[in-house]
This record gives sequence, structure tokens and C-alpha cells, in this order.
Amino acid sequence: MKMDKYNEFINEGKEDIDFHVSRLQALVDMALPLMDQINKRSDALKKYKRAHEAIRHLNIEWNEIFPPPKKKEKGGGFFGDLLDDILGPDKKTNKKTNKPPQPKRDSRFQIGYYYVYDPDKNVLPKGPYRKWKGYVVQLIGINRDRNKKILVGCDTGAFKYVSGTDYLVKVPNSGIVYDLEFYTRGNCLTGPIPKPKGITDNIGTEVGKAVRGILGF
Amino acid sequence: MEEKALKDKIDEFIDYVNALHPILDEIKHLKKEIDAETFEKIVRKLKKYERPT
Repeated sequence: MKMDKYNEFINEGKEDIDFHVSRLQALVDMALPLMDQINKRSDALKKYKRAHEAIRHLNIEWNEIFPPPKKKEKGGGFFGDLLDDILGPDKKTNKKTNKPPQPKRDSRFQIGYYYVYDPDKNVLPKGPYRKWKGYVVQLIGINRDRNKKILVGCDTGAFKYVSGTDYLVKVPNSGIVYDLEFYTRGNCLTGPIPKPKGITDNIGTEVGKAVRGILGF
Repeated sequence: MEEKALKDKIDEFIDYVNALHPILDEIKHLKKEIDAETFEKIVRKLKKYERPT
């Protein structure tokens, strides 16, 4: 029996990797026929409460072992993920207007805004925002109480959100009131950046840490 | 479906689920002991189920 095989491994008491591998193989061999049986029945029975609950608990354990892959936007870094947390997942650009979707205003949350600034042309960009990829976006935190701007970081991955329009920024679990303002420049916390490409991730990560620390999440 | 038969079917289903729990628990512990590549290789067949549905 497969269970005997498994117990045999347990009783041997080996702690080396081969032992773990063999145990895992035996466990998988045991799990497979059970999964077959469960899958055969689950569709017909999941509408019943007890079966539904059993499946739900199984899903929880299953997901701990095989976490579902995170949906990640192309080119998104640490800071991009942070913005996803704040603004919600990015959606496709409106093909007619070439603008990203506009979040709805909600007065329950703190209001922030950001815009892009082309350091070469000194004008707000027009057209598809991806055209501007490659510039560094600086993130400015504005403390409403002190009315003081603080540079908290910068990142290039934020461009998917840039439209030149005011945005609402939802900042969960934040004890500090900040507006968020983004704009592009050729300089960043780490100094002049002639070619942002290639160092974006580092910037984003550092900035993401800073922002998380400042905003408290 | 007759009530008794349905109850038996659900009981049987839950038995299978309950039998799987300790196995998954062990797999979860072993995941920490084995390198990711080896783990993936071994659990590939199991993973094809993606998740219980």
C-alpha cells in the first residue's frame, strides 16, 4: 500500500533531501487518486452546503501550497504594484481617446493627483502616454497640515496611470494625509539619470519602500 | 435524488476531502524542505488539477 510506503519513509527517520523528496513523491501518489474522486463529484455536489464548505476549506489549503499567480502588468515593478494597490489594477487605454480610464471621485478617500511634465518640451504631454515611457516620475507627497511638499521618490513604471488629469488616490490605512503628485524629470533621489531604463527597478523598489513607510502600509 | 442516497454521496465526498487534508498538510511542510525546482517537478501531476473545483 502507498500509505505503508509513506510510513516506511517516516520510520527510517532520515533527514536528508532524498528522504524529503521520496516522502513528497509518496504523498503525491496518495493525493492523486483522491483528487480524481473529488473532482468527479465536486460539480454535482458543490451546491450542497456541506460539500461546498468542504471544497472551500480544501481550496484554502490548496492555495497555500500552490498560490495562484499574481496578475502583473507588463513592466510593473515594486512601485507599479504599489500604485495598483492604491488605484486598483490598470485597465486598457481607451482606443478612441488614447487615455487611460479615469477613476471615479470618492470623497471618502484622500484626494491626490499627478501629472507629467516633459523636461525637454516643458509642456504637458499629449497622445498615448506610453510615448512618455522612459522618463522618471517623481512622487511628491504634500502634507496638507503643513502645506509642504516632500520628495518621497520617483519611478518610471507609473506611466500607465499618467494622463495629465487629476486623479483620486485611495490610500488605505494611512494615518498621514498626503496628496500625491507625480511629474517627470531627469533627476531623481539618486542623482541625474540620463537613461532611466535599466535602473528603474532599483528606483521603484527604493521609492516603493519609502512611500510605504511614509503612508503607513 | 433520494435524501439518504444524497447524504451518503456527500458523506463519501467529504471522506475523500478529509483524507486529502493531512496529505496536503504534509506536502505543505515538505515544500519548505525541498528546493523549488524539485518540488515543482514532483507535484506537476498533482498541480494539473490547479485547484479543487
